[in-house]
Amino acid sequence: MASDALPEVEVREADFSIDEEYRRLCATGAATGACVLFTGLVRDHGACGELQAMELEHYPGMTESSIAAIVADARTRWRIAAVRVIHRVGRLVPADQIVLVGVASAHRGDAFAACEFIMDYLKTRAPIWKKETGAGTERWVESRDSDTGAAQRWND
Amino acid sequence: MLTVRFFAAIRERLGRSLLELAWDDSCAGVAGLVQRLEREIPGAAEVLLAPRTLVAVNREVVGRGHALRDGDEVAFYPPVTGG
Repeated sequence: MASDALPEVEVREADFSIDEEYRRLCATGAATGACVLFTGLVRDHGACGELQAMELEHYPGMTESSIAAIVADARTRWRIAAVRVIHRVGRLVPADQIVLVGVASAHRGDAFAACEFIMDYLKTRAPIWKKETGAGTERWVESRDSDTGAAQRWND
Repeated sequence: MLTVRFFAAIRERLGRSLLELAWDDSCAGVAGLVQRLEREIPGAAEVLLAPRTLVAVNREVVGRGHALRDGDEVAFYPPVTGG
């Protein structure tokens, strides 16, 4: 089956099609009763005001392995039929898609929770950094305590 | 040999992304490695020892007390902001 050939985790410059990813996740088996897809987009405002572009840097190899470890952790917590994570890197502009987390499961509870868990952990663990360009300046995005809190609540 | 990588704001601040160092026993811990990097890149220690700076060895995040071995890949980077 074509879906078997795709890696669960991909870090790449190329954009992705929600439609294609949705169809692949749904094709993982007749027992799949829920599919949750989260997409992150580039906003048109950053900390410095209007945002023109964003440059995403990452640590090749470690980004993939750290996201794979998060997915493996999610599998110990919820029943998951299939997962797909795509994180884009390079130069992106407002309204571009940055990240996709898709989870297929028998039931919506597992799919919703696992999708949110993977996203929360990815934001605080995957070695990816954003640099914003806008209003004639460049600046690295600062990490946010609210993101750390979002990841920590899964251990409460 | 040790491979040392710097990312994002740390890479820019130090003006380097990659450094390869011949192994010697002074590099057997992160603290010793930082001292050696300070000699190569003056000002590096302040950045690398900042509490927010993260250290990964062979692509796993480690604590500052982690032992290093010949052949390791060590990365220093700021808090992550992906997603």
